[in-house]
Amino acid sequence: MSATSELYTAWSAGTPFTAPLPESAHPILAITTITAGLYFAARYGISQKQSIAFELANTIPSAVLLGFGIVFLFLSVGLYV
Amino acid sequence: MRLTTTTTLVATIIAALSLTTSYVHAEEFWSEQDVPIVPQTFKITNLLRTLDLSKPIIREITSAAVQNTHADQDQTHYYFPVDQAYSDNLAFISAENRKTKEVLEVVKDEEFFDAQFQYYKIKLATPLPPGEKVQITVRTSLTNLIRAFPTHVGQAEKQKFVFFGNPFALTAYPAVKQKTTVITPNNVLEVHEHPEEVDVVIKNNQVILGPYNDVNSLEHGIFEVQYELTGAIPHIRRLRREIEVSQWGNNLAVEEHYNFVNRGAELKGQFSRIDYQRNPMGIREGNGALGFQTKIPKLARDIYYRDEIGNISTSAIAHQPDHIQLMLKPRFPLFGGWNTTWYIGYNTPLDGYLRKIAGTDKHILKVPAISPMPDTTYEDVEIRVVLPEGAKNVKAVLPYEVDEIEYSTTKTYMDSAGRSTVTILASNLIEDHAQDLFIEYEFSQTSYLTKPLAAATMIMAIYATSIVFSRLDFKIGGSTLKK
Repeated sequence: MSATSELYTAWSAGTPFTAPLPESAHPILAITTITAGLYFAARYGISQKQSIAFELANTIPSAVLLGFGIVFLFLSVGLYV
Repeated sequence: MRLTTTTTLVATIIAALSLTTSYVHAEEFWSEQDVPIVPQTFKITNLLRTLDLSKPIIREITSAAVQNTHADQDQTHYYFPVDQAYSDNLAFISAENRKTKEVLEVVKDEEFFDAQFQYYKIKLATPLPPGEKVQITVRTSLTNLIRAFPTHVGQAEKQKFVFFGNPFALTAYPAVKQKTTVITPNNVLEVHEHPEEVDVVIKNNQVILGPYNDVNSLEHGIFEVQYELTGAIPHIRRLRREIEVSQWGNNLAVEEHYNFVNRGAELKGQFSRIDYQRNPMGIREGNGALGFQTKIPKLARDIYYRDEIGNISTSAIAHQPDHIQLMLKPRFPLFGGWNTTWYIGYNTPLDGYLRKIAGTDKHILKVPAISPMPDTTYEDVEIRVVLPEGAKNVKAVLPYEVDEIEYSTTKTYMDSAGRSTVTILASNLIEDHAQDLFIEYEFSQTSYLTKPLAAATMIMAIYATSIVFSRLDFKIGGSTLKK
């Protein structure tokens, strides 16, 4: 009983949770990051026999952008991951 | 050798006889005189007990004026006994000071073990000096104690129930004067009491037992009251409540799976659809469960009400100032013994429930343990809270006793390490148990990156294979040695 009242006072004293990003930004961010990710992916995909540096310079940003894009995509359609 | 065996045999027979004779009584009342094992430091000067039978869940309100009879010690705790036979039926117990309405702490006593009675320790607001009096009100809710009598009734007939109870309030201390009032929803049908010496006065819908003078502690007898109670006896056999916290999406998702049965009197014969549709007024007085009501958070959205077949469209919501009233109507009316299953769910914003302790990574989540449904008993409840990935040092606290709290991990969408999960198993809950459940955990800001980087790693794995394979030569034939 006292454990809950302790936690209740701690809860009341805490700051309300704020999301890292506003929810209205989710669809726009999803579209932009996926588009940018696909741009880099396409740049890598159509390239022929370039140096590893070039290939990595395209695949790494593409992977990171697509990773974030997938998370925002899930959030914007209502699948709260 | 032989002599010792016969003497031990005789000794055991004498011992057995002496044990049995202690259970043979010579008192006026049929039950044996129990001796309370808690310290006898109080005397009850006046006790008023109300047994409210007007709902399926029986509420017993005991108001006692107690006096400290100890010579020189201040008393801090008052002991309240409950018969062990009712330990499965006792759903909720609370105590308050009658004058100041201050809530007193009630704890199940572990110190005094008695085979027949379970004691609850009530902590007084201030220590009571010797000779002083204080008035305490104890409220208990008892479930599954009434029986339909007769067990089968017609579709439009009235349901009758029978209740067996104790005409005396069960107290750990002797009472100078006590009185019990039993309230029934309609006129009382019949009352039987045993022993016959107790006074019973029947007034419309009240049975007044007493007042009794100089009642011993732990005094008990039996009385039976038969009364009429219309309406369903809602009982949820199994509830699984799943709460999913998403910090990325600022969302709290709740999904509840119900298995419901109506514990009223069963139907005599078949269900007649003609009678049901032709005579709706009669059925309004009838005993079918026609709908359920529950409260969900004010900002809930995407509310759904489904069962195994699919969406159930007979539902409605009403926006109230501080919550949304959800009114659900199942596909068919539920008469006695009939059951149904369904699940509901919704999403709400997380900022009303989750708070962060400034300066640390600690987060505290406050959610209601169950959503309250009026007059309903819950038999088996499983509450599962899924926390975001990266939550550590999880601890769950409830304001009442539950059967089990388990900590585990579940893997769902886009999880790499799995999400910490708290599973709480509880039984025999009622509407009063819809109090707040607190879960505290640690979640660092960098844990937000686990999900995107996990997805990025998988995609990078594809690109890496592509980079490596594009540099390998799989041509068959055509050696470089050939000039």
